[in-house]
Amino acid sequence: MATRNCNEFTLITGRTRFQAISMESSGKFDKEYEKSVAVAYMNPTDIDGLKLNHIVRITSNDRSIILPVKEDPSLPNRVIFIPIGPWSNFLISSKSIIGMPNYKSVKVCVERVNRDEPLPRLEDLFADIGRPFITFTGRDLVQQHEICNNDVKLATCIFCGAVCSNIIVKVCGNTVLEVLDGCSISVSKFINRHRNRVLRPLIMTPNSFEFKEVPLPIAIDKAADILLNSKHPLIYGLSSTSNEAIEIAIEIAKILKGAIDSTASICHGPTLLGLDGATIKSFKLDMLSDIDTVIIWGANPAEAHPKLMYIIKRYVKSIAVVDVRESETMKMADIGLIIEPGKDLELIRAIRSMIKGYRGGMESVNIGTDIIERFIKTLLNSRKGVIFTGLGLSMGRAKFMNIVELVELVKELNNYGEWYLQPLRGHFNVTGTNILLKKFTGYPFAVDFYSDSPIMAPGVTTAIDLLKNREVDSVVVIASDPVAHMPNECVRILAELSLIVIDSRWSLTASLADVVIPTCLTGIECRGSIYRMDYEIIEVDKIVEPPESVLCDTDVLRMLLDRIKKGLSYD
Amino acid sequence: MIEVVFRLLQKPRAPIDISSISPSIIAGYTINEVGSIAIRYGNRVLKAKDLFEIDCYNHIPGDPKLIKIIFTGMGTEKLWFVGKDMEEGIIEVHGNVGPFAGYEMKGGCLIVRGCARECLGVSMENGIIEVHGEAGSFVGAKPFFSNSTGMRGGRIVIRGNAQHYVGFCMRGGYVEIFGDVGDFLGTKMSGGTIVVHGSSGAYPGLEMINGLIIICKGVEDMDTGFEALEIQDYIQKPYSHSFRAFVGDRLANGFGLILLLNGCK
Repeated sequence: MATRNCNEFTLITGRTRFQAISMESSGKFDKEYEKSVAVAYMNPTDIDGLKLNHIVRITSNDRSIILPVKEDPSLPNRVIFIPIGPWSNFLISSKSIIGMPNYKSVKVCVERVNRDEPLPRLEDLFADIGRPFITFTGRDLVQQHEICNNDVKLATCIFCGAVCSNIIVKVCGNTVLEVLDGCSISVSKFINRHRNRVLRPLIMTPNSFEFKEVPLPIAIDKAADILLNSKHPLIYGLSSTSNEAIEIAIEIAKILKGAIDSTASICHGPTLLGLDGATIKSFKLDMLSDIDTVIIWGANPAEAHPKLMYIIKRYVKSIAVVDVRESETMKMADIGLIIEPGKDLELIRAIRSMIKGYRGGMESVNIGTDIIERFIKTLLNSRKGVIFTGLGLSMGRAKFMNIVELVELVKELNNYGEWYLQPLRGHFNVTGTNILLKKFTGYPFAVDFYSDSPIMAPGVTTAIDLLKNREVDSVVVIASDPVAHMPNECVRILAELSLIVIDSRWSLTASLADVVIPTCLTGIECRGSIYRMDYEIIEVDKIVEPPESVLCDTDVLRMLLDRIKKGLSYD
Repeated sequence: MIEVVFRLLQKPRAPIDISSISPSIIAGYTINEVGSIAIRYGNRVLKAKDLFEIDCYNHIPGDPKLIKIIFTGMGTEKLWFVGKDMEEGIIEVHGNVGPFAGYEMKGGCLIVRGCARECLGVSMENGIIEVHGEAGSFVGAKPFFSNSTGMRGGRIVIRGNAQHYVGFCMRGGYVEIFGDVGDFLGTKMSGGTIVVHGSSGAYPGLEMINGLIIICKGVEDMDTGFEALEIQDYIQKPYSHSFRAFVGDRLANGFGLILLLNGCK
């Protein structure tokens, strides 16, 4: 890495509110999405120091990409932030330790380039994985809202893991007109539910890479044929669908003796590994009104879980935030600790040392002792507190060890007050995938049924590793978009394999699929049950009628399961 | 020693669960019986002879101690669970081996003339594993979400480097690595010995309760939970700076020992 012209920076990737809104409103093929994710944020002093001309070349793992650069004074020096998407994933290596690639604290070289260098478009990234760029971007539903009584309905928001209830939506015909009491992402999710939809099942014609509309039974037959001919299929995604659909997906993986993994493996998977065997009391979000202190560690709920942050701000006396930059959440906090990327483990252990009365440990974290002492005082003087953890912890170098240490800290703090640990989950039903997989197999994610009994090993049966090592020969993606979130190398392999996408909206993954089966949106067009991040089961109802002849995830998966059972000559 | 050679007929495209072939299982079999052992190839169940060209005498001796199984051919890295629950005899892999090699191994000898993937010797109880190349993460570790423990006995020798979390939750036995190891060596270790001839990544011995870790060529970062022992004064002059000893992890009330040597052979 240390070449002559290398200005070494630490790359961190993550979600932003702008990325989430653009993804929900105009879809991932749109200019808005490109604008929101194909950008690098740097501290203004770094931009001036390198004399950058609005664009920058970033190199990592022998791959380089040119991106527009924007100022972000909240970032520390020599740290570069790129929102997660195909552009950032171009730089991420698929090398994983426990199934989780290094999305945070990647060492990169940053170089000045001329203003006229071309910027890579989505088309160029697709050309790089060896597939032509599909111009089809889904269809918009025809909105029917001429004659109606402006129905007002209570809904449950189905975006993030906080699953806020009591969102008020004004509905007219098949159109959501207005969303009250929801965050900006929630509004975008409901209002734009009609955009970029897949309305008919599609099959890709081999060689020509063109999609053809087919009736549903033919698409199901084709999907079942692919799976029945496959020696080791992988079912991936599931975090944005209902518990009922997840149960059927697990059944499919079981009878096909394939692997099943949820998006948790590249998200909070390490958190779940860290919580293995931990004996701490479970937290419920309803308890927030009775909590004195909230610690938010490596997460940015102000952008990713806005309404939860609003509730925290309203009820909780003292908020402390630990992050690598002055995030929106930190701006709302009473104590903010800015640490170097990847130094979380050191800080947790330094705090534990101080609580136990040992000296030392402070030197490695590079934060003023007075502020840590204030932080510890807050921890020890709270009657009831909760530590919310984010991907900053599960994706750092120490990965699940961060959580192991944090669990120990919570146990020690329980001698002084009542403390809880709660991961801030991303997708609305990612918790459901973990609970149901654990219930049926004993493992919360990355389960492989190919052996006599289910097996799970991070780094082996995790989706990234199964793809990277070419252990699977077909993939079913359900309600997820791995092409936008997995490292480029895995996306290349995904493009080579037989791919079935079952999703409600057109996605980057759908554009690489052999079969695309459309479904309705759970919680808007379909009812179902989901698990909130605190393991609370929540029933969601439909608020508008689904598009004509499009079925719910459960119905499509049940049809597929029946067809597979028939193929395997089950009774 | 009687050799039974399994040569892969072609490069597999899915993982093969090879746990149904071990010296104790094939002892006393005829070559035809060996050829009809059921093996899981992805989600299919095939006969051994459909996957391998099998080369051995017509009758395999009844004593597993006299049997040496050799896996060879293109794609041995797709062989998962090599030597799972193995009790006696020798298994040799000519090439790289897939994950879970030596899983819950109870005796005998597993030799890998190549590299090993993740989860080598997980929950191993006894026996010897020797890897001539490199090894992945979680050598001698505890499997997640299970009630079993890490390695309890036996010996793992790795000639090359090993990745992260070597000896995770290890309770006994001996691991020797001639190359370097990654981060978090001997995490949650409560017994046994790990010797690293090269260097170690960050933070060996976190949450360590007991056991011994010897690292010959330095550590990237040592955690402050380990206390340096002031024993230099008791060692004769030219050797007094030849090693440093640490006890910890004090945050877990542990008494594990880490020795950092300078230039040990």
